[in-house]
Amino acid sequence: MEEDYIESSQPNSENELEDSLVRVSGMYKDWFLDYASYVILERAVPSIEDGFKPVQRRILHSMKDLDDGRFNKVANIVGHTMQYHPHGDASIADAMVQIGQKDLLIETQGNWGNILTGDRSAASRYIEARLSKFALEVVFSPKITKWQSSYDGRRKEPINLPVKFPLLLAQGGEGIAVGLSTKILPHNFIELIDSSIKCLKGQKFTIFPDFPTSGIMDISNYNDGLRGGRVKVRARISQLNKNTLVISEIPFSTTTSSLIDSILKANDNGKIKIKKIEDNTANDVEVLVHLPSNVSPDKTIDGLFAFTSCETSISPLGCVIEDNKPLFIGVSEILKRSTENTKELLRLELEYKKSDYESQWHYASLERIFIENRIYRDIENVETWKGVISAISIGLKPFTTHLKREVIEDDIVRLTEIKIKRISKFDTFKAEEAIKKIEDEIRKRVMEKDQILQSYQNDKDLSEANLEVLTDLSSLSRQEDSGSND
Amino acid sequence: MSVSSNYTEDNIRSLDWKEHIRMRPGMYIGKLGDGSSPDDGIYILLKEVLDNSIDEFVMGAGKTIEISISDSGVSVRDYGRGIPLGKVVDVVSKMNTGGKYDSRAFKKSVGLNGVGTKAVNALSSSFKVDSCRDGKIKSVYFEQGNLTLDKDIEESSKRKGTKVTFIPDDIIFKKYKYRAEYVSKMLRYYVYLNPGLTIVFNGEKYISKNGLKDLLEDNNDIEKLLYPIIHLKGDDIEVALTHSRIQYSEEYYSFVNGQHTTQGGTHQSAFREAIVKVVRDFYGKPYDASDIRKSIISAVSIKVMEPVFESQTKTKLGSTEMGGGLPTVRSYINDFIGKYLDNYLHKNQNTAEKIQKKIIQAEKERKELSGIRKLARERAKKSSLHNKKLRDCRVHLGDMNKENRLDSTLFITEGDSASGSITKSRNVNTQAVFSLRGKPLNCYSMTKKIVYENEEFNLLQAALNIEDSIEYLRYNNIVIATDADVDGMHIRLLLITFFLQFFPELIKEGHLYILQTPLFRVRNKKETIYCYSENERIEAVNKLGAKPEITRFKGLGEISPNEFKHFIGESIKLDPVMLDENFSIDELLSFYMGKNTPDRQKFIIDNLKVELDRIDS
Repeated sequence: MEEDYIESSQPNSENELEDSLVRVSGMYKDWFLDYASYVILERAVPSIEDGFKPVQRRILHSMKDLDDGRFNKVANIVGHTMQYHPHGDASIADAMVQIGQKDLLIETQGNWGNILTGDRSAASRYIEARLSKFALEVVFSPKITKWQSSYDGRRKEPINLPVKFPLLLAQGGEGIAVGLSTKILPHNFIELIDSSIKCLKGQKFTIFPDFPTSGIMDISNYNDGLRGGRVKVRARISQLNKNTLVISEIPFSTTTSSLIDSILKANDNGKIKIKKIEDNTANDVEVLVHLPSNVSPDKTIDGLFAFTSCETSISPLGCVIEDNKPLFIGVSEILKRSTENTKELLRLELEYKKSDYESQWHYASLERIFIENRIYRDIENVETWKGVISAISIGLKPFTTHLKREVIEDDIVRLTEIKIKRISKFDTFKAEEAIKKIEDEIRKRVMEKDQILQSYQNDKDLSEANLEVLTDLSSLSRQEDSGSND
Repeated sequence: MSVSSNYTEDNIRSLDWKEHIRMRPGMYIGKLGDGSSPDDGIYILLKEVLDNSIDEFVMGAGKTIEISISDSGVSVRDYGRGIPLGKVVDVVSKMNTGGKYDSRAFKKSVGLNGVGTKAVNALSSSFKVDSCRDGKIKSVYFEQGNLTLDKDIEESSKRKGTKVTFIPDDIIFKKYKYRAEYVSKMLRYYVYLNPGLTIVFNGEKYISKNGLKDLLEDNNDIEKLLYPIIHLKGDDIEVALTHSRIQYSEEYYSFVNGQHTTQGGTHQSAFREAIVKVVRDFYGKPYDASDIRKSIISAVSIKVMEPVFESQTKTKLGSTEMGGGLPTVRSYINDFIGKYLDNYLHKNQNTAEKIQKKIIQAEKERKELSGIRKLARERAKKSSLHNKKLRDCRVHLGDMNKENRLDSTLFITEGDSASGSITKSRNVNTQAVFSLRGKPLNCYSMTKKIVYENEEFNLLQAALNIEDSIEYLRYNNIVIATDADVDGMHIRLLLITFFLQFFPELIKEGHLYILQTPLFRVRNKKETIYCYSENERIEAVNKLGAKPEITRFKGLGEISPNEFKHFIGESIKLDPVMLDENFSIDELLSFYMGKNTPDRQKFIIDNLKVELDRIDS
């Protein structure tokens, strides 16, 4: 049947049409992965290194850009952040308010909302912010930061910020991505530092969550914050009098408004019986539950735990980004990594400072040689620039044996730029003092590992100095009350 | 203005046949296009040539047709009787010349006005016919319809038949490219309608044993069918039908004399009507027509003498008479279905029970939906007064007398960022805009209720006019126009999910597209180049040299209306959304759009796409 009829052009024809269309399954695969990858890596999950999601990192980087010690309008910071974060302003402002409400990195001015009542913050054009001293000390260090270019290629932004503190554990973090989610609970500031030090000393440590809303928790199933763990959190309820209960602390992830709603709902459903409920929250939580005269307060307390969000169950699920991959990880491992990272960052900083002082010392010494020995006179009769350089170079030679590195052309060029005024007023004694001082600094920086540990503890001192800012956190006594359930 | 005085005898000229075709190709082959859409002109060219070979097969001559498509052109070889050697030139280059004017059998053919092959000839840069019969061969060559070589008749040992080889003229079909997918779909339809015919396309064989039954089986997941396909055949009619377990809408494939009438017409309406009547009579219950037809999947093919279509592209039948002494199309179909479907149901109790159950279930669902439908109807009333999400165009797919109806397009845009510019820069005759706000709902695993509950979906359904079936679809092309960023990708997925879930036939029939927008604009003071890929960007930078300005488009909002004109005008780039063969939609959707599973998590983590732009200091 297949007859060779007239010259046929079949051979290469098949490949011609092959490269054609992407079918719907290919579209799903491509776009789904694009979207999922982006949401996981660039939106919802914090990085292991600095504990920030991209939007948070960009906000802090922008605040550092703008930092002049004064408060800035949040709207301006948000606008600035958009140079790095190609998304809506509202989402940036929300993210910023959340950081502000944690009261650690940002000093706030104006109404930033209330985590107890759930009241929202004022609009971003009203409220103001600046970096806290803690943030300035702990989060930034431009010299040892690695950079990437921003989305439009006009600016550079940090890949990670050099955070010298287990920030992620202190602040907690939550995000729902595609195919995975993360929930890291907040922990106690002081305990984190203590554990970090233990970790450096090679001692054992365990950390448990601690909540800005206080309350009582059962951490018997915390499971180190890994998937499958479960933390029960209860409101603190006491009996004011025979007919009145008072809620003075609320569970994490609730607000007094949402709590009252859940109580009213339980009342409507007939699960509990109350007469009236009032929210007297001011600086502290105070919710009054008035009971009908024939109702037992004890039973009502049990009912509140059973049927309302006075008892909440929280499932932690530690997930972070490491090397552009999601990593499921427990909180003690996060702390270990953070501690190691902090050590490394401090080492880098010290090294940087040391080399900085060394070059200062090098130049100060050169300058002294140059002026004391009147080497500038050697160039009087030289006509070419090349000649000037080599004349100085020759002039310096006899005196430079004690220097730590070779004298290079750049050094000499710098010497030629010294002002005459400086030469005429040169004071050998003062110069020597200055050099001595730099030598002292270098000596200070040349530290062994245990000294780095020392410096880590300085961090703690520093944070203690900052405790005023951190009252809310540090005044949280350990809320754990294991076994109080059941 | 004094130009008007120049109107003299010199101005009057009669167009040669080929000049006319080349000047108004739309009149002969519908739209032009570059081959990215299945109704583009280059496919019609192939079809016109193929139709003649099919006619030979129908006449009982030649069971195999060989087609090859490559860079060097298209060739169609049949083993029919061959064109009478003395008339080869006339048949392909003289208007209104053909062999189909008297023969009775040919009256049931589609291409009977003797235009088809001539149009192909005129629109090809090279056109060649070899006809072989009685041990002799005759070859003729044309270029753009002009005869360039008229070989003498020679002796030949080759088998009888005709071979037509042509290259579409790229002056008319700019940058055209045949897509194997579309050709193969078209060929499959040919073999369904011509059992016993083998078509060999670039080495691949197409053959169908069971006609329309094969069609339904190939287009649907067999496991999703409620009962075995009912397949009935008569003299001039063939039907196949079943119900789907899961699909909501009605799905029809209708054919007249082998022509796929994508927009139905008299035969399809009669078919729908007949089914309802038979079912009501059979069960003796006055079931609601929409309940009976819900989820139906069916195909009908009839042969009509001298069919009349509502347009040159023959997608909607207008004939009311079967011709040749037969009754009207309506009563012919009614009688046939009335007799044979009724018989079938009596003989196949099992199927009959399943159908009844399905109808009762549909009735129940409809009543459950009635409250929401009422709300929806009120909305529909409002939306028919004014669909607030829609900026409509003048010409719609159903306007059979409009030449450019196949160009009717609905752009579904994301948010306000794009709808403004598209609205401003569109061609208001054929391009409409529907703007979404934010991300649409993920409607995987939801019931059709959501289409009524969700205002956006409801308005979209109203804009497209596809509540029960796509017969009255208002736009030939539905184009999803989202940003080329990750959220845009997500919206595309959500929208495709919506269509797959509730209106899969829209995708099966090739109406859904994705608009490609450029990723970069590279320009210097003189020239602007839009680039759709990284490679194009590098090329453009090389071309413009010395530091051009490069903008990366993140969203459609960054493109101004006068730029947008280029992207939705003649050189519009559309990616068709096409189903995979042998790939279950259900599995696809449940994997990507359903609940998270460990498998999916692993799949994501193993395939993460990382983009980094480090700066080394």
